[in-house]
Amino acid sequence: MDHFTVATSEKTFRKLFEKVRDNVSESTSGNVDLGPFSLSWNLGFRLEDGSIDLQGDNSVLISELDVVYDPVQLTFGIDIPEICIGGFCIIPTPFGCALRAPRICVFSADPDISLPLDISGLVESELSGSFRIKTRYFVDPARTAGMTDLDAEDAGVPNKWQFLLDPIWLDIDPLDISDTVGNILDQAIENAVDTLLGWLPGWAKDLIKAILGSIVDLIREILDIADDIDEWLSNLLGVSIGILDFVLTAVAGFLAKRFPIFEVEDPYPVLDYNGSLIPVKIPLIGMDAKITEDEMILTSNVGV
Amino acid sequence: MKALINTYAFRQTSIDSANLGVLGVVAHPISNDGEFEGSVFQNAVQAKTFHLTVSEQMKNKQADVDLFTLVAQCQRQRTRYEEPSYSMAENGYVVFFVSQGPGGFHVLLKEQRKQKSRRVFDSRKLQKGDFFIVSLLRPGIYEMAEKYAKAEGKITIAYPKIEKQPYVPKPPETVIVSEAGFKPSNLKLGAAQGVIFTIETSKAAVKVNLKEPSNGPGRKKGQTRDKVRWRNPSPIK
Repeated sequence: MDHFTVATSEKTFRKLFEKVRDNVSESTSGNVDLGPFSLSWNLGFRLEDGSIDLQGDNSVLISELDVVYDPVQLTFGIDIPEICIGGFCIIPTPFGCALRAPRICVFSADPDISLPLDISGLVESELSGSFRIKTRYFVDPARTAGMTDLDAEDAGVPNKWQFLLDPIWLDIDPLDISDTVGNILDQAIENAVDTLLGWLPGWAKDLIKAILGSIVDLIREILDIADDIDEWLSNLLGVSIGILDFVLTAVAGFLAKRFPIFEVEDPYPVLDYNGSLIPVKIPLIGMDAKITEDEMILTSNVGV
Repeated sequence: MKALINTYAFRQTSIDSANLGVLGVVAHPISNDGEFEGSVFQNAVQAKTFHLTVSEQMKNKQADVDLFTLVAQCQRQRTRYEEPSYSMAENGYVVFFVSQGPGGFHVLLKEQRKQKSRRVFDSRKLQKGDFFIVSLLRPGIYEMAEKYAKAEGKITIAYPKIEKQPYVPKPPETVIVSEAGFKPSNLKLGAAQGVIFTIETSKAAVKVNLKEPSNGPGRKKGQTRDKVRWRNPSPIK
């Protein structure tokens, strides 16, 4: 029989989880060459909401946990086609062109256009998972070998029993992309082209835009965006960048290794300093956690 | 971001066969085989020479000579003695153009036979059978003039419309340059559409000058955009 038993309700467990959840955030950056265009990114995410359901099989089910992607800063490097004049036939013959005008390029080599797209907060997905409680005995690395338990407590580096959410499985839904992303992309394209042609007079800009046709359509074609921008962006973020794998790996690592849902100091302080009397602390051994449908139960024995 | 924009193509509003720039091209036919010596002048100063071989053994009927590149190479090499050479088949055309830069070129061509040379072409005086080709970018009304026949005409370049489909200039228009003047003498073209001046007179110099630029629909010359004014709702009294 255990010497101590402490129970926390599902409501309290939820409060403990919310504290952990709000600490979870991670970011990443990188770049990749995707053939017709290059892509560099600066991405991050945080977690919001989510519901807790304690299960009778000693597990915790977390569902509808919102993954909010912020920042989502993508920069596309695109080659737009050369624009040349001339090249037409001056003397056509039945056997071909006998004399052709030289081509003179007004964009003399493939000019690069840098297209920044900031859609921070406009991409979300939902995460759910099942977890068991993992118990870990934690010795603070800052605690030196010669420290007593009292020294460690005074220095704020006591040993601890920690309880972490160790995932059994994690599911993440496809990315949910705001409808406004299409408009933001189109505006970003217009802005990038205006920046590129910034110093030219209005008539020259209009001529280049006329020769390129719809610049938005042209760049959408280069980026291989079909009718459905959601599908394109989901594929880009999910497959080319691998953001879903990144989120799953990061969440699993945060919950199972970095942020305990609950921790107990060892030895456990019972009485604080009282005049000349030293604090009273009880050493805990064999701590464990169990989940029922209604509560989380922590058990422990006293001993060294 | 890097954008290599041919600035001179957008700045040029006067195109002169006797003073070649980015938007003008001169083509001269050579019917007999032989060795030719070319001299390139920029702003009336000789800048470079080149060699042209015309032979029935050559297959190409056209030799394109980029005057900008020719002179730029000369300046980079800091020598005038590495003479570039071109070759083409007889009954072909030597084509002089300027890919970039401020222009101001003319070319002399001499045929060399038995240690004697004879001038056969001066781009300032185009001959029968020559072509002068221009591609006008700036929308507006241009005046075309031929120096020796005192001929005049007008070219109107329409303002480009930005549409979903890319704008592709129509095929070039041909203008006959004869003693009687230009035929036709009034052209309405799209931007970047070519004009081929076919020389049918013994001596010609064609110049196309922008007279009245067009700033597009809704904006007339000198017209500025409407200002937006903010008024203090509670001004100091």
